Amino acid sequence: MSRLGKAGWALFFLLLLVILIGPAIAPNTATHPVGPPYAPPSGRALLGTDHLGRDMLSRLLLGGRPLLLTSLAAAAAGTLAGSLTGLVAALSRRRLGAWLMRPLDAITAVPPILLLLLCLTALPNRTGLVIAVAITSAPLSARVARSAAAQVAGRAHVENAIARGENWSWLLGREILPLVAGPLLADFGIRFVAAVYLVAAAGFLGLGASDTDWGRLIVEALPGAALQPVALLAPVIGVAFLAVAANLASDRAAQNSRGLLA
Amino acid sequence: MTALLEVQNLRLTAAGRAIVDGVSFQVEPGESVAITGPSGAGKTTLALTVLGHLRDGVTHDGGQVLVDGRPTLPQPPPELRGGLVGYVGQDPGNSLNPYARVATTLLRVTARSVPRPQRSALVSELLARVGLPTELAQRYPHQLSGGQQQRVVIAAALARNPRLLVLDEPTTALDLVAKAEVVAELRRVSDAGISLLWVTHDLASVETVVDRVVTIGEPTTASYSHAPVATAAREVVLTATGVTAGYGHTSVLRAVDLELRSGELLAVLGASGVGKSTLARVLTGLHRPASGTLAHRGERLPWDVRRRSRAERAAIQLVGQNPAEALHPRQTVRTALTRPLVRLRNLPTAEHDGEIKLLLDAVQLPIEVADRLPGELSGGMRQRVALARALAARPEVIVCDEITSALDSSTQSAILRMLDELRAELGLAVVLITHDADVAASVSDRLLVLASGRVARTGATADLLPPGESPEERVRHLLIDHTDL
Amino acid sequence: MRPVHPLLRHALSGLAGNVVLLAGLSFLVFVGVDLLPGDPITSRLGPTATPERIAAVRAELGLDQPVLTRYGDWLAGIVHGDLGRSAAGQPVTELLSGRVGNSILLACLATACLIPLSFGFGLAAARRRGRPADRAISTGSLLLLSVPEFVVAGFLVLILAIGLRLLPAVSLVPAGSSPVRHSEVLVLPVLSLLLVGLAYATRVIRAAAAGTLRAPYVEFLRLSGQSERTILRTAVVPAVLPVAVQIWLLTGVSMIGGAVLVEKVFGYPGIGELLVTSVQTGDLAVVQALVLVLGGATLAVLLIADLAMVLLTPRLRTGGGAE
Repeated sequence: MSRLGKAGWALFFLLLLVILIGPAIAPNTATHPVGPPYAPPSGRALLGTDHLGRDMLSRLLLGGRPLLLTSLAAAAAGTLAGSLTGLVAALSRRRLGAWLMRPLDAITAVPPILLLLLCLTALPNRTGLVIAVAITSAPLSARVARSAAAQVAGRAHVENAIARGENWSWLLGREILPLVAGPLLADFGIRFVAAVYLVAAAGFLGLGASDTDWGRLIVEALPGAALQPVALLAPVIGVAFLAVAANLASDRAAQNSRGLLA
Repeated sequence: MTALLEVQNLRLTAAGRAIVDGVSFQVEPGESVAITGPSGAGKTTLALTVLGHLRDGVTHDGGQVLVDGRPTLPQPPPELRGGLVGYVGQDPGNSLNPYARVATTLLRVTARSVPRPQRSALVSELLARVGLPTELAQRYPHQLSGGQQQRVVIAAALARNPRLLVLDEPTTALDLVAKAEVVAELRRVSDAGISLLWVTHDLASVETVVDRVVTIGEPTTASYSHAPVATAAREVVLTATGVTAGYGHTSVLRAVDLELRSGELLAVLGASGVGKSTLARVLTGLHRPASGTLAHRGERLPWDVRRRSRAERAAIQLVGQNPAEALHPRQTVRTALTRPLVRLRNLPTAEHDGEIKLLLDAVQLPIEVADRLPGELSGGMRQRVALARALAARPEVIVCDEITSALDSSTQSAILRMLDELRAELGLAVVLITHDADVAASVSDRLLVLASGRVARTGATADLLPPGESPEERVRHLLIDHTDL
Repeated sequence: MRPVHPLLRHALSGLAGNVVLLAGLSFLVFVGVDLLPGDPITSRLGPTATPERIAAVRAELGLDQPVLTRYGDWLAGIVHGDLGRSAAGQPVTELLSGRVGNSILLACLATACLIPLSFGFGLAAARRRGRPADRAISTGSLLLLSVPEFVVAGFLVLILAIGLRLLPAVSLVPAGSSPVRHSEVLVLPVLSLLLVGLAYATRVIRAAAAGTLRAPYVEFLRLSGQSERTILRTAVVPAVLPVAVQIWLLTGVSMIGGAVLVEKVFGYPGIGELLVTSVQTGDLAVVQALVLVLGGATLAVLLIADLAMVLLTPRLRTGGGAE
């Protein structure tokens, strides 16, 4: 598994690099037609053209960055909100903890994709997308943070610190956070994978992070897939690679963080 | 006549380290043999090879195990497991399939098809053999007590009339009453002519059953004992009265009274689950009791440690059970020892290094340990650091909650000796919480026996557990007398 | 007091909890959405819309009423089986009627394939822990796990419909006809849903089985001379089943979510397609109704999964242990 994990990290960072510098190296604009519709790959358009004759390669390179950054922002917002709630719930009195967690449980009952659609109907823009993804991931992050912190809070060294009168900043910053940081980071990886999924799905619905969102490229290429399969294959592979690489990387982070408390 | 079991120069390794290194012994038909040795000496690994089983990561590195003249490694003969040799493991709660009723488990191990009408008679017979009533046949394992579970395991092991029973610490996970139950059962099995191979760390309880003892690994050092101190004249440092405490609606401690004089070692003895740890947490202010009062040198102490003054917090220190959790895995020993100096004694930074050296000296650790992380220390060393951290506060009372139960017997006696010396030197009062009657008998001045959350007996250790008698037997009698009252 | 059977007690408390959760969910779906920053009207009509026009649309949709009043009306309607009206004025119940069956058919077919496959793969991988077969299964499922269903669907279209020309790329079902009559249109949607669900279920079942195979009671059975087959049948399967049933039910219900996108890929006439169209046209009423219905379905399935677990675990079924 560790070889796969390393390959995952390597693939992940390579992809990150390509995606981040993508808009700078795109040979054409996203909107300008460079040839006939559904033209097969050629010297002028390496991945062929789409249904309006636009350059697929440029559209792909331009669409990656918004997808990635939106997913990162959404996952970070969700993990942060969730972790804070979970930590407070774990360290406060039992009844308050339960009251903090209960509304979050109601949210987990709804499939994430439905929550996404609900938020996007009401707020069809990038902010809505980030909020939607953050809302779906916060409850799960809260659970992870709560159980990780609860495990740590009962440990003898934390009680010892309480008994010798340490203040909150020492308790949280020195006793608890160093031990839950691993699980929280691993959790962030998982939330990021889920965020890529949802942001790509929003793009697929035409409500994504940009007009060249990879999900949107897929849906646009579907009708002409028989004529120009590369236009479908390229974004499909892009999303699949990003999802798989993020997943492998987060899986590895999770394995590294395990065993810390053993 | 061939020996029933013959172990010839057996070598087993795990992770590149020899765990069983050239062990040889024999067991004759009908003979019962105990295998003993310190923890980590490979007792369990050795016992499992008799059944031809190597746990994950263990490799067979030479020598052989012969049962009835046939080798068990690498593959045991087909009729060996459950047929010729029966096996009884350590923790009965985990040995039985939780998804099968007792009757199903027993029928399955007989490994022959029994016509439906005869099944219940067969199950009753197997249960009767270990003195269990037929009604238990339809229960699931979780509906039995620990002693009953272990007897069902023995019944399963006996189902195919084996000639040898391999017992891996069969009584360790049981309370005193269940332990007596199971030992008596195994004595009957041995008397019936079945050989026993009994792995144990506690020779005293198997002495009456086995014919011979085989020791593997390093011999254990003699346990420690001290001369009791007359403490009646000393002043009282800690008084707890009428402590009733629990979790939710269940109370664990009921009206417990306790008095501690300076320089004395009070042992709180009781089986698992009687509320010993709760008592330790109540005294150190980590668990709020439902009622009762606590006084330190006559001054009333608040229950919650957060409400106690700095001097009051420093006066009573806790050393816990689990060395793995006692220290923060990411903080060095130096940090662990410095914090109490800062928070509880307000010592200037310049004096920290000297004080840390003194503390490590007191617990017989070299100064180099100061810059290590807990992960680099053994369980015994961590427990010494935890003790040093408690001493750093200059306490008057140290509450030790089963501080030696996770350690092997030689480390255990070294820690107990150290505790006793510290007490003599510093005039510390110690509350030593333990389930082990031998430990209590060997180091304490006074004894407090807890049973179902109440004080069953209290008095001078020398009176309650007179030397020359098995402390465990005595405690059992004390408890039985108590229930008669 | 007469002792209540633990299963019944569980069911009743679960049901009560679900009613509370569903009420909370309806509040979130209706009032929570209203609290989101931004305004559905302005974002639909664009920044050029005049205030008069916005006010007119607002009044038309009843948005000038206070949110709690609207929530009350909406809730009262739902209790009477009225899911509200779409932006075009059509009752949502009517919009749903022809499509619910099609979506359920898709999810049921995928789940029916999921159960034997995930159980077989999961147990096979656990029994061969660390060996090539296990690595292949574990790695394959890890890779597949994170890929969105619509991307899997894209791959399948490329390979099976365009590359090999085996199946239609679009699930065209003539109006008024059922997809059952045209079974070839079902294959790709079912397969797309199945693959992702299968990856997840296989991983969970493998982990549960591998854990059980290392349990002390399995070691005890081995040391008592029981065959691996017997151990698998009597100790491993009963231990894995409660977990597996939960996963199957959860995956089955999550397929409704996945189906939303997969249906869109193939133009399959289910509720997913309706939902997507409503999102794209900003038809909040339809989306809210669908989210509540599907959320309710999820809660019901979670309750069933919970009860199945109690039923299949002796310790829980018999209500705790001996004292």
